[in-house]
Amino acid sequence: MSTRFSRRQFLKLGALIAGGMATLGAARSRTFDELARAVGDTAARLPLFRANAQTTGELIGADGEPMTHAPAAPAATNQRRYVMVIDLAKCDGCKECTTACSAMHFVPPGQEWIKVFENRDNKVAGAYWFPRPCMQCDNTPCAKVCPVGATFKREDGIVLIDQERCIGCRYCIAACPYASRYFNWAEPPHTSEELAQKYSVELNYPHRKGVVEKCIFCPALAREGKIPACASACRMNAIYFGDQVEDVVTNHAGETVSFTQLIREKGGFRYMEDLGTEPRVWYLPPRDRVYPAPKG
Amino acid sequence: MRWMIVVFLMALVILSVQPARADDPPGAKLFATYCAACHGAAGKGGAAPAIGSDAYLTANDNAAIAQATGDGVVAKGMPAWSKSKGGALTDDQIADIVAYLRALAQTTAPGPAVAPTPAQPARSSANAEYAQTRMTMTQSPNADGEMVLVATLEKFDGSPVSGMVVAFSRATTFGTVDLGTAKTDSRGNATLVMREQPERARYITATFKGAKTLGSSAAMLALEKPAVAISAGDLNTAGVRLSIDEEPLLAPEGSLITPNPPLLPTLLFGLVVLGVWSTYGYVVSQVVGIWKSGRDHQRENVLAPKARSA
Amino acid sequence: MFRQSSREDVLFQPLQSNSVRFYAFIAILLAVIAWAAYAYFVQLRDGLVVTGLRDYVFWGIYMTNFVFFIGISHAGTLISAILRVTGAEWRRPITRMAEAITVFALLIGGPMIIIDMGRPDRLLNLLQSGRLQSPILWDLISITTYIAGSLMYLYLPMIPDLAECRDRLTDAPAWKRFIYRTLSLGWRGNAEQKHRLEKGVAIMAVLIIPVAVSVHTVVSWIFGMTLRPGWHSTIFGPYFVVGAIFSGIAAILLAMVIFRRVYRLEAYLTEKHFRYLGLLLLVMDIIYIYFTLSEYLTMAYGNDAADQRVMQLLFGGDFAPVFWAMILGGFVLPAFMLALPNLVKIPARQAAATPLLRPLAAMGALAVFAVMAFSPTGASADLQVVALWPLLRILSILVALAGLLWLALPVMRAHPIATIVVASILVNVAMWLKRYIIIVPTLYSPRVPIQGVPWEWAHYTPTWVEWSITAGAFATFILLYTLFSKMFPVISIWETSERDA
Repeated sequence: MSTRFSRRQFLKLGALIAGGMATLGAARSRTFDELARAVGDTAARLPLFRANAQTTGELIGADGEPMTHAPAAPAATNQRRYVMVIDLAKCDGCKECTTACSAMHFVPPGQEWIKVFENRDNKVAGAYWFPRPCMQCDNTPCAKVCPVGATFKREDGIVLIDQERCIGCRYCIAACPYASRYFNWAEPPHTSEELAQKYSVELNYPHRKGVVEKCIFCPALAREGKIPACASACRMNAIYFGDQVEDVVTNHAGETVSFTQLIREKGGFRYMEDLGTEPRVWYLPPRDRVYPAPKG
Repeated sequence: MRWMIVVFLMALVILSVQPARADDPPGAKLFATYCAACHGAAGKGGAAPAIGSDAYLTANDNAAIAQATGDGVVAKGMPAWSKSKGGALTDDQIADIVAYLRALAQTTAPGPAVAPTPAQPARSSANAEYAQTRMTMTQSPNADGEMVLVATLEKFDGSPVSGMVVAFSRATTFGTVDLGTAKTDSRGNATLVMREQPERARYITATFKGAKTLGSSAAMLALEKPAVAISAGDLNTAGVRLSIDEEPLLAPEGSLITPNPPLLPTLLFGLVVLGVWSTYGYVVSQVVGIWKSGRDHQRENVLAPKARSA
Repeated sequence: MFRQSSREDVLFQPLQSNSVRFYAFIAILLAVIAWAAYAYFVQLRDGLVVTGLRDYVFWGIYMTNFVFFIGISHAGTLISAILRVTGAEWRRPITRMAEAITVFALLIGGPMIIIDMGRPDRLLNLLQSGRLQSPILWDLISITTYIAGSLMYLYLPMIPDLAECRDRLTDAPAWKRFIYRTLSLGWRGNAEQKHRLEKGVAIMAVLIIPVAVSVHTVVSWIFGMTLRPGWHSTIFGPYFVVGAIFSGIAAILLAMVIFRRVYRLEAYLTEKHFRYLGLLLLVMDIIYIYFTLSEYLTMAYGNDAADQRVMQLLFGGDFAPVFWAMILGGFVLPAFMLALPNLVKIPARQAAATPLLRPLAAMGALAVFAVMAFSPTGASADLQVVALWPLLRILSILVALAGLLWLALPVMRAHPIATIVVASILVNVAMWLKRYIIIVPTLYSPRVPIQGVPWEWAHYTPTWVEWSITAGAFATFILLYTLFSKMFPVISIWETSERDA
């Protein structure tokens, strides 16, 4: 067990013991539920835990009583705005995010939907690791130029590609300043696991020849309130994912923080802000690094 | 299984800010003797977790640390040190170690429930009787448009509990966000100003973890509509609007998901293209005229001899 | 009357008989096209992986060809529309050729985009779910409009000649006679028909100019609308239009000299036509050099890091040889070749120089040029004049080129048509390279660094598939053009005789 005893991990554990309900799949209402249950199980020490009429009116827990809990308001996709925060101070360039992403999406060889660069803005500041997913820009240069509307922006902030419509003109690749888009130059190698899935724009697989692909913020996971594969795989806990509407981001270790507060207090910035693309991926400066800087 | 309960206790802990008691550390020697071998000098970590770290000490209250020390974490190979468990340390010695850790890290101790550490001064409980508490929470925007949360802590007899730390948190899809803590005043009110203005209503929880003679309590509140609502045009500057179903989505056949082009430029563009093509049409009509004229010419030539003969 | 008809016999000659050389030529073209078709089949089967394109350099010579062909399509517009509108009488024998170049170049250029597409099977998506906000749709619309317009503009002035063919070539094969009969629309040359024809031609001549300008502007906007350094430029629209007319004139000059030689059209295409068009080429060349200068100087003078990377690639990096060959050999040299013979009076002394001396001097200059231009920069270390070496090198190259020009001046004066044609060839090659230079170096310098990819993915070398398809495109263009010239008179008979009348 890591030395970071985060609440979330413990909550998860407690919930597993108490009810066995908090599997990853039931994540949407998990946190509050777990909190309530955990409280309930220690009710011998904590005699009363209750809400009252002035708040929600629901009895959420009392000594020995069965609990009900307030739903954590499952939000429709169009009420969300997903956002990612990458703490460059924590990224040690291990590229496990890339590996996990490629495994999860069966990413064809040669593509790195989240790619870790060794950036060096100037000689004085030195080099730092720079993971680059798709920025999911709000002012999408790519979707703007797509001649057939195959790539599009969803209200929840995610830019998707319909590979059943894409004509493979690669104009979106030309338009993307972040080089986040990839083209299937040949028929990608398939696995049976991949082919077993029915194609959906939220999966982007089974992959096919002659169309454009990119990072899509794992919408299928986000739908369940889970963080994307890259964030889950980041052992440095550098990648935060969350919802701007709920004003929350969380990382693999379960450090759940207010998004606006995090950006404000740590001087968050966006890559190539001056291009006006309004990315949905934010970076925290590589300050007080917890890893040795790249040699470059 | 008892370490699980430790875990539960840890799970309850919510950050709070409270100066530590920098007592003389009689625990220092005990720590060096019993703990440092695994946990490292000054708890900096070694074979076992760095229990001297801020991360650990802010995430765990004294009771939890004491219990973990006493009961051990058998699954991880940590022995139980409590005499009652067959270990070497008395409860007081364990308390000393905990106090040493606190002093060492200059960190804060969350409100203790049962820990035999220097106790939280329970000013409100002049009588040493144990009392259950209850909490209510209200919300109101202040002049700056920020939401002010007031949690009122009182005993069941209605008397306010003052000087206690109430922790506020917010439940979201992606976990619980700590909003901070506040102490109750003489009327039992703990006040917290929410600087963030999340755009969607969500649940705020205020928790009082209890004290030596006070039971714990909590209250929950659904945050009212924030001052700043989501405006549709704000969703993204490209103006893309797409509502999707809860099911994974396939693009509708033959339809546009991306926004319609702006009306005026499209009209102008269409007008120009239409103009060019209608002019083409006119030129084609001239070609048709040439063809018709040629046909008439031919007919005249064919008919003329006949007319002459007739 | 006799003289005129003999003139016209020359025009009908290619329509009536085919030589063995013609069949051989067609066979070669067909072979090239078949090979290109095989290459395209391979590309369809295996995907674009068979090209040299990868995720960084994702557009290559297909796009180059696209822009190039759309460019030379402006030949017809300039010659037949602008000159017709301005009433330049000398244009008459050239118009048909120019209009045909327009149509066939568009028919080749447009499909280059389809060849570049990853999923050509989904072409209809452009109609089903086309987005007007995308510059590609603007291209689709304006190129379609341009093709339709130029077809009409090619066809309209051809109607009287088709009637002439119908009446004169009575011993042609039945299918040919059918085509002439159908397409000539019963043209009798009566007053009404003449009136309608002239009206139609006049309208089209005016209308086709803005359409043509829009086409190449929109082509440039495909690049200009992105945020890429080297592409995101406000002058791209006019820059491309000027470049298109520039290469269009060069293409016409090539077509003229070939037809003049092969079909023996010396009576129609005189030295005057070459001189006039040569002057136009010179004017466009100078304008194009001016645009090029303003484009690159603006980028190079600023500090934008992304721009600087592109400039570095062009001025001193991977593309420097191509870039400087294009600038010096394709723009500057043709300008001198076109201007000098008209400006400089050759001193008697030089004209009388021995035939031996001049070739020797020329070879010397050539040698200096070759050594200086192609020697590796590493030589500088031996010369011990490291600081002066680049300057020395550039100076000697320039001096050698100037010397060559000077030595060639009498030759150029003696063979004005050949000189102009050589300049046209240089211009056409340079304009193809220019499109390549616009597209590829920008892709070499994306805004994010290129890291962690194999060398081949970050660099572009066209593969045999791309070269084959490119060759096929040119072969198809030449084939269509040749067949057209065997089917219809390449010189407008009624317009040239109208002038004589």
